[in-house]
Amino acid sequence: MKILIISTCKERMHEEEFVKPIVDIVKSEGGAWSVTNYKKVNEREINSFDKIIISGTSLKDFDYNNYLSRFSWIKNTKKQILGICAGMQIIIATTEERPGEKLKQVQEIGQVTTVFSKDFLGIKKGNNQCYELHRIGVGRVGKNFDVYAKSNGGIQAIKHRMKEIYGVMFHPEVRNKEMIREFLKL
Amino acid sequence: MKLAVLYSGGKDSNYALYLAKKHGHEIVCLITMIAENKESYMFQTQAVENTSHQARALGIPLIKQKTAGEKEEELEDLKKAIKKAINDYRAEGVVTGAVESIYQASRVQRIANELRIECFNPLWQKKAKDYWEEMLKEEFKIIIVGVSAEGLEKKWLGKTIGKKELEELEGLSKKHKFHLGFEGGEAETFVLWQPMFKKELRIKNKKN
Repeated sequence: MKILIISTCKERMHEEEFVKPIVDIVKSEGGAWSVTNYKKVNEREINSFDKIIISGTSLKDFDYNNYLSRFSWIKNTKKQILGICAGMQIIIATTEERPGEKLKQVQEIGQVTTVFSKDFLGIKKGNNQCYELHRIGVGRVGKNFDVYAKSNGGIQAIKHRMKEIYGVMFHPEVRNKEMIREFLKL
Repeated sequence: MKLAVLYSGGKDSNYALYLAKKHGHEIVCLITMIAENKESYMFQTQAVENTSHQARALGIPLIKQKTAGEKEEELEDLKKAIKKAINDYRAEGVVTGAVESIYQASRVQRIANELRIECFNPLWQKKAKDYWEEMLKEEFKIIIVGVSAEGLEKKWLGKTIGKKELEELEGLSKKHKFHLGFEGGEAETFVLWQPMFKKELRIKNKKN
């Protein structure tokens, strides 16, 4: 199993915080992995991996939005993808019609109660404490996605109806690490 | 980027400072919070008065900010200190040594967000053994200056942690179930030397 982790961090030091914890989880599962940056990622690179994880980044960092064309492959890929925070926003921006209408300004920082309406990558239906760090959230999604979890701030977990594309607004590499392990087992 | 580092003088803030420099950032100042309340939720209280010596050894300006150390109110004092770093030293971001505490990390994140600066947590989620080993590889000289956990007796006070001591600490942490990185305040540390220091600090008077 080969995992590609796409960093959405403009500052390399933020990768210590948003990418390294994901790498540690992938390493602990024994998978082969590689890290690439949002400015460099391309379709050819994607093809040599089995699964893709797109990381989150800092509260002030939205530079990845200038490179969304680098993620155009998401729309047609059959790869398994997990988008975390900025990663989930990228999934929405590249697969949804009028994505700007789906996103909303909402600040969630710290531990937040998140309500799962059904089981999601090993997280059981019901209330769960999740670690959040974002200023832009997701207010709604189109018909391509099912919503699995919400907090007071908006949608927290989605899955594509036809593909194995998952998105979470919270940070499972901080709390709910088991969720990433479940994704790796798919 | 011009960065201010929240600096208690212990291993975590020193390693965060070291990593920030290694990533090519300019460290414009250190910030030490001096909390009167020894039970502060946010700040280390042992040996923090001595960060002036470390700042001199580093050649980096130090902002010392007093706080009563009362829950939530201490955040206003931290915000004041960070504002000073922005106004006096043009800091564009703040660095913390947070490893696992969501309580501490999210509060600094909120302050940085309010002040519209970046927040970096380069030790975030690191495994204690891994970063202890990384610091020892870089020849950090770390001593224990406070103990408050079962299994960590007074004999550890003043002890420099090397490879042998780390192995012993690891054994004790497993036996007595405390966090090897002292995330629960099981012990406090002080750094006498790390690669950014221009000279090593020496202890003149040991107090138990």
